[in-house]
Amino acid sequence: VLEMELTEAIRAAAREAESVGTLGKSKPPVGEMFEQVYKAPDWRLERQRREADAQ
Amino acid sequence: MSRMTMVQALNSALDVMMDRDSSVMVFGQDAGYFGGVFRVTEGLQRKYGAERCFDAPITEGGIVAAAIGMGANGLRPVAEIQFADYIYPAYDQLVSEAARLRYRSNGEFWAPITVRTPYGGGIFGGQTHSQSPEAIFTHAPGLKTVIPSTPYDAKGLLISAIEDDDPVVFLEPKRIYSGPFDGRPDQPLESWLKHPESEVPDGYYALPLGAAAVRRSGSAVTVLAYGTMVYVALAAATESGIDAEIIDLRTLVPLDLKTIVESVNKTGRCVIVHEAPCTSGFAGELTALVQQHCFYSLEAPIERVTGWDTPYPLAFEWDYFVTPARLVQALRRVTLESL
Repeated sequence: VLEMELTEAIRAAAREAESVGTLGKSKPPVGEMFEQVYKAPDWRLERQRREADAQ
Repeated sequence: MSRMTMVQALNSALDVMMDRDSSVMVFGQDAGYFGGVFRVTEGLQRKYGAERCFDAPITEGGIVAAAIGMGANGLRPVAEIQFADYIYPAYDQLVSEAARLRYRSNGEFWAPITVRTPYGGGIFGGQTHSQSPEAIFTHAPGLKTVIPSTPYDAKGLLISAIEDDDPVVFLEPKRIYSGPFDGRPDQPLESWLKHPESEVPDGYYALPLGAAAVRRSGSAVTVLAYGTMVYVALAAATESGIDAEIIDLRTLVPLDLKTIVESVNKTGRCVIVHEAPCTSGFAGELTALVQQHCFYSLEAPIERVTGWDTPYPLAFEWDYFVTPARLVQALRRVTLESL
């Protein structure tokens, strides 16, 4: 039973992970690519984020 | 002459050199018994024995350090780092030891080593299997940096790298190991085996380090590219209809400045493309050189089209990876808008 529960938990986690990004249909906004590089983005990242958003 | 993928061409180069020169040794993580995760060293241990083709522990610094010691004592080691993303622990050995050994010993010792490593993105590898760290090697005096883009070049350049008496970092664009890729993941995969550049001599031949190749002649703008980006540039030229001259640098150090300058002086415009992040990328060096040597010919600002200044993102792979569409925009900015 434990093995089945763990297998299903892993499968559910994989399904959730694969539902976003390039493998899924609910891709997050491209601007999120530039978040968490630094605590606060500098001018380069701000400029590049605008450029990527415009693609 | 045979049709080869890039992997097969690299394997052939190693085979040819191990056969010709008993001082050539091949080793790395899974490079011996298993034949490498990308199969580049497949069959070499069976053919040449475990003393000349062997596995190394997971210690990148130790792999390069061992290669330096072997090279300084008369061997010609070819070390494999499984992914360029894992080469950073070996950076100290490459920069502080391999690159400077000749200089530090006033020519008494040197490190004739080749460090092969797959690099670049487009394989859903995320931040730990997709990086393009070429610029950090070009910044270390004493190292040579080579990046092939075709099976034919891969074999000829790897043979030259092995024969070279200086340390060479040989970066293999893994997205094009099996076939050319133009940055459009929605298009059908293409195999090398139908491509003219997959015609590879079975035996020995060498291509000189420091010689670029003009992949497409043109008059409107010069595009400087290497690795997978050569095919992105070719697709962008086709898609835009702009008569771009596409130069495949093939080696970053030594750099074929003559070919670059001749082309930019002819076209008056220059776009540089690479997968690596923009800031302090090799395009910055190329921009400075083109500005210095072609200033009076330039009709428009030099453009860089590069990866963003972020870690390589898994979920945003095709927003990060330079596509023909991004390059087309740059080609249009430097041509149509400057008229």
